[in-house]
Amino acid sequence: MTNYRLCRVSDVPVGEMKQVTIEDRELLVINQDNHFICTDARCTHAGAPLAEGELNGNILTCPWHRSQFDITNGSVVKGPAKKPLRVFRL
Amino acid sequence: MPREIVLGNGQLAAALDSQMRIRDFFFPHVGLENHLGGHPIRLGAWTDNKFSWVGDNWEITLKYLPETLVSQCYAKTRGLKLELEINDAVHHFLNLYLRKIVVNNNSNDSREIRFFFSQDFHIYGEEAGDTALYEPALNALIHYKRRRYFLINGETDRKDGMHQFSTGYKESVGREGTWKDAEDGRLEQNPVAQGAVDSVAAFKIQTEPQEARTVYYWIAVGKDVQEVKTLDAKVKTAGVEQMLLETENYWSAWVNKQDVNLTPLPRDLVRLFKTSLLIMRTLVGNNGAIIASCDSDVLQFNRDTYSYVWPRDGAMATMAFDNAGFREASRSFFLFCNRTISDDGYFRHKYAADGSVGSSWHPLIDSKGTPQLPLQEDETALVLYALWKHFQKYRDVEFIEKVYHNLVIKATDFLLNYIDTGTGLPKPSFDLWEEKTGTFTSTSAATCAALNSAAKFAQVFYDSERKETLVNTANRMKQAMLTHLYDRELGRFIKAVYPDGTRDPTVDSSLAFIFTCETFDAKDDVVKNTMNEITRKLWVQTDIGGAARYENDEYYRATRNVPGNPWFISTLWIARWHIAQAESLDQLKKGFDLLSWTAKRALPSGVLAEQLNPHTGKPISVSPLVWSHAEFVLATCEYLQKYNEVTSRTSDTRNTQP
Repeated sequence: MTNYRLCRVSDVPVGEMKQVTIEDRELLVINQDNHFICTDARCTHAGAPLAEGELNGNILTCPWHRSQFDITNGSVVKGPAKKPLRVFRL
Repeated sequence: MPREIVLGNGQLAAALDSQMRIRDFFFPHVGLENHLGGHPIRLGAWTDNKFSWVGDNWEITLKYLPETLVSQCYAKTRGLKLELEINDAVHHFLNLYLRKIVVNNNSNDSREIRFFFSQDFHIYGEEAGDTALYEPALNALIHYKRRRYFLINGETDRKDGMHQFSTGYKESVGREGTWKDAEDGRLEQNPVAQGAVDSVAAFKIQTEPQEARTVYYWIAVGKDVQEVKTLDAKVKTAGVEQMLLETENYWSAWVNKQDVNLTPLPRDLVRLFKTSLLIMRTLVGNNGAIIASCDSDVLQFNRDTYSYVWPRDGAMATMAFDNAGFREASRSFFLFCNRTISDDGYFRHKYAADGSVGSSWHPLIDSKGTPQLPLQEDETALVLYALWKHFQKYRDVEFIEKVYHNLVIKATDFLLNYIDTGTGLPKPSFDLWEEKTGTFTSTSAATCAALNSAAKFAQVFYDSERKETLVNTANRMKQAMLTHLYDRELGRFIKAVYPDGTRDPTVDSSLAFIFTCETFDAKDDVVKNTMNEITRKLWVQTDIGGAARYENDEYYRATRNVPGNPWFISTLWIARWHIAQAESLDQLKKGFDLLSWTAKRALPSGVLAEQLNPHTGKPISVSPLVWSHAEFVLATCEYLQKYNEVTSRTSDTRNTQP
């Protein structure tokens, strides 16, 4: 397993999200009450930038078509997305 | 009224105002043939025997879907208990204007809701001689004149087509237009009108309490009736939803191909960086023309618009595109320049989007009747400088070869010959603000940069004699700037020397060209002193802030207690100077703060105006201005480059942002 440094802790205040690029892969770092989560940065439906979405508790809403994901496990809460969001270990 | 959303595909371009009305509709060039010319395509709603045009009495927000050229607009009216979510787009390659309206019935009653789309075309920019007619085979409306056709159609989410229509007369005594006919919720079904005409298309939906339904609307644009019918059929086959999705994905892919790592930036700056690139792209025609603005509400002088190609603005845009990794737009602009440069080797004041010489107020004689060129010399110089910067990044020799002899050699020869042999400075021409004739510091700095660029091209093509001539001339000009345009008593550069020998000591933000054009190093004392004085004299001391163009700037002046209205480009030149001379994250902070200032002062959609009201922050003059966006992109790229240099050199790990 390869370890990557995504960004600094101070880059992502509590309740915020930040998109980072690691080796051409776009990732989303989320600070949920100082618990950090990393997911793919693009919606599985049409590729919208999730960093521009809305985070409400565990639910991340896509800014384009309003798909919703549970960021704790990446599962789809509401379509049109069908595929879950990939979540990475931090 | 500023344009808050601009959309386009290089051939068809449209702009919406703050009331969600389409006000500018360009075809077949971006910037040429405005078929609305400020007259609106508007949306109205009727329900419960009440009618309202979306506008003043509605709560409206206009943004883009992130990373796209698809709008994300909301309009809400308590009066009709309606809430609309609207997406507008120009299809990324088909000449189709697309609109999706999700209608939320906020009432607890089942209701019929009717939507009215009013089209007030002035085809070819003229109101006379248009025809508007109903086409029964397609259940559509068509407006046409000569070689321009506009087919208006739509459907509901249950595939119901146009419910009613009407065509009629406008702009004559007692005839306000057919749109007035809509206000009783019914249309008269008049099937044809010719002359000064307009039309209205109506759609109806039945909604349950709190139910959301969808209405789609589109305009197919072409040069003959078959072309627009074919486009109409394509929409019906694919559907507006699918076409919007394609357009979203195309622009998202386009804007994310940039080769700049944006990770160090906060979200608001990332958003504005991408939005700026997208907005700039809407102002680029497929023929390479880059217009200054598509906002036809603001007339520059004597009823003329900003919808022209100024080679200066285009050069700035290409430098921004190139810095961010978008070389196609730049290449097509340089080819446009290659086609339009005069036989004498200089660019005229401005060009229409088809490449023809634009309207101008530059006389061919001066006040004494002596012949003069209708010239702003920095425009020719900046194109050469931008071309070198393009080559420096991409090293595309084959492309340069296409423009070398006609553009580079011809323009360079002109610049070499347009020098005052006595001073070594450029001969007089109009300044970049198009107000005065003289020898300006900004023009001289740009010309120096162009001569140095041409020298580097000569080196690439092993023309050592030419290179030597150019280097020597550029060095002489740089020295002449210090002799004639640098004031040792004031300790800074002055604005200009005029033909009668008068020296103009005005503090002008365009003095920043001395370092943005790399004529002098940003850390050189002559630059530091000049930029410090710009910051001191031109910073607008109000809650809005920002830098004025120059002392006592009268252009759209809002108030007398500031040096002038704040301009984005002037403010961003100060940002670029702070960035250029920074050697640590702490020193980068001033530049970063000005980038953040820009993001804060943008319209919610990300559109940057030319200037702002110094007390309210509201846009003044055109919105968007391609140059404002270009300077933001340039400043951001330079910030990121310096950030990477500083952090890799010092391993400064305190914070991502200074």
